[in-house]
Amino acid sequence: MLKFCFTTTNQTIKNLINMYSESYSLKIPGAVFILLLLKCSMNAEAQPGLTMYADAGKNSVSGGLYIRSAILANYKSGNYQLKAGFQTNLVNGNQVTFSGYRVDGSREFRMKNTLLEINGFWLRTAYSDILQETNYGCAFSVKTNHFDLQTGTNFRTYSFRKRTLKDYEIRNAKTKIHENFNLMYSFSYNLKPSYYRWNAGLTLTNVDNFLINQETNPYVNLKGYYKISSPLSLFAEAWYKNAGVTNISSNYFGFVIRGGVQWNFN
Amino acid sequence: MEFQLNQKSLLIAAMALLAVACSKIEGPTSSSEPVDIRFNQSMEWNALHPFKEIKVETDEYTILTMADIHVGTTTANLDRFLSVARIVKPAAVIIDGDLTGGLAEGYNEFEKHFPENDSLQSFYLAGNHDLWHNGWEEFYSRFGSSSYYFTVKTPSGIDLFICIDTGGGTLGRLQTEWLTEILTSMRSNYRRCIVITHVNLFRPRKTESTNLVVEELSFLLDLFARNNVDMVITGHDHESDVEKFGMTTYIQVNALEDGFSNAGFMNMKVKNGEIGYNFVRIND
Repeated sequence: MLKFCFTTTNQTIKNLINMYSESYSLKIPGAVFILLLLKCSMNAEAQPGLTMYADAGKNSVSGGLYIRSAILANYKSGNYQLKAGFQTNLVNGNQVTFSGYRVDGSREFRMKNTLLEINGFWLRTAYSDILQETNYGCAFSVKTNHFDLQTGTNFRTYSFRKRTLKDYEIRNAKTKIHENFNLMYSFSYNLKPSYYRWNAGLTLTNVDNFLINQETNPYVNLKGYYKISSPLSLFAEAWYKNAGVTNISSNYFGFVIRGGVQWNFN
Repeated sequence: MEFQLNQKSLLIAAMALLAVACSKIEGPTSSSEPVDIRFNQSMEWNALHPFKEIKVETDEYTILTMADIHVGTTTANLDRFLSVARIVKPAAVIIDGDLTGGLAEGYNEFEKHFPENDSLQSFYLAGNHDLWHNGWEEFYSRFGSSSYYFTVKTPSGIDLFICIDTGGGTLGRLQTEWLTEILTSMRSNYRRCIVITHVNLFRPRKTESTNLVVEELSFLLDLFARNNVDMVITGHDHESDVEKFGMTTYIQVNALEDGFSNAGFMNMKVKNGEIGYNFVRIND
């Protein structure tokens, strides 16, 4: 897996191009991803990493407990970073095994003790075997010793999957709905600076790796982090999901418990 | 590894507690009854009041839908709407949430102008504002259920209208199961199916009003597509909008609130099973 991700032979590049352009019809994000990968691979100081986690959650529409897992590979070269990953449904997974894909590219800037980052991303989530959601957007973040603040915008499209149009005989009908310039935000407070062996923090956000909620529906996320050894860290998160908060008439919607491991190969 | 209970730690703990407790706070900021409790009460009411079947003699009938009237001290637009409705004589009038600000005075004022024994056949749904100030108790004692269905029977077919409670920003688990059961077991028995709820599903414009969370919205889009729901009617956003997604038309109706420049309602006409609609501005 790692070899496949980080080797940049001609054959691998061809495979990647085929995968993105034919199987998933993702010509533009695929090409951007591959070009960035090539740029990073030319740098001897490149730092690859891998994040794997599992989610166990329950909400009003999940029909019981669900379990998902996700893998995100990142590749950092100087101030540039590439990230790509996917999500799988393991238990109670609405008939879709691979339920999310994402590709990210970012650039860092350092100003004294503050780290600034700009980021562009593409995300596709399959909510069922007939429906999917596509998001792309950009974000700007500021990181200090204790605070991570991020804001950005995303463009959302709800659509039917191609097979659905045939199966459900949807003809001459509008099959996409767009929502433009949605607000994304994330406000985190961490107890310790990032170089500490352990950390804990609280986040208010409408963004997760494979989910972007509307700006009016924030989630709360309590997280903990512990570095076992130099390349390996463990993390855990608890997400509390509310609905209707800004209607001033709120109700519990669901929760997610997340546990994972982060591996930096530098 | 050392953890000192300092001010920062206390601040974080307080923020977490506040966030988690947000839905537990009663008073003007929240309903005292969570959505599952409201739904159970609605089902109790439904058990004593079986669903209504409206019979019309011809293959053409009209349904008027209004939302977000926010009755407080003035009722000018409500009176105008009722005057029109009494002339049109629709098969039913649907009041799609936010008829008041949750206070008993608002409910009293509303009922003074639109009494229970009015000749118009009316159906009510609770909106988020109706739940404020423990408003659900007022709503329930006057109008009863906010999760139910009714049918309109014409010589050529029967149409199903399902009303669901999203006043709290979510259907909740129990109501979601109920809606799923109704659609999967009953939909095929009816010619047309229209779902009515207060909170709008999409965000066609920048607004501070809350939609259903994305996971719930996706679930409903899937459910409505699979079960051939013809139309979903909502309010809440105060501005009319029409979105077509597959075979389902999603409609937001204008607010009827006094002082709102686009105040109006929706006139829906069903003729030989074909659904037509237009937005009527009350100030024109």
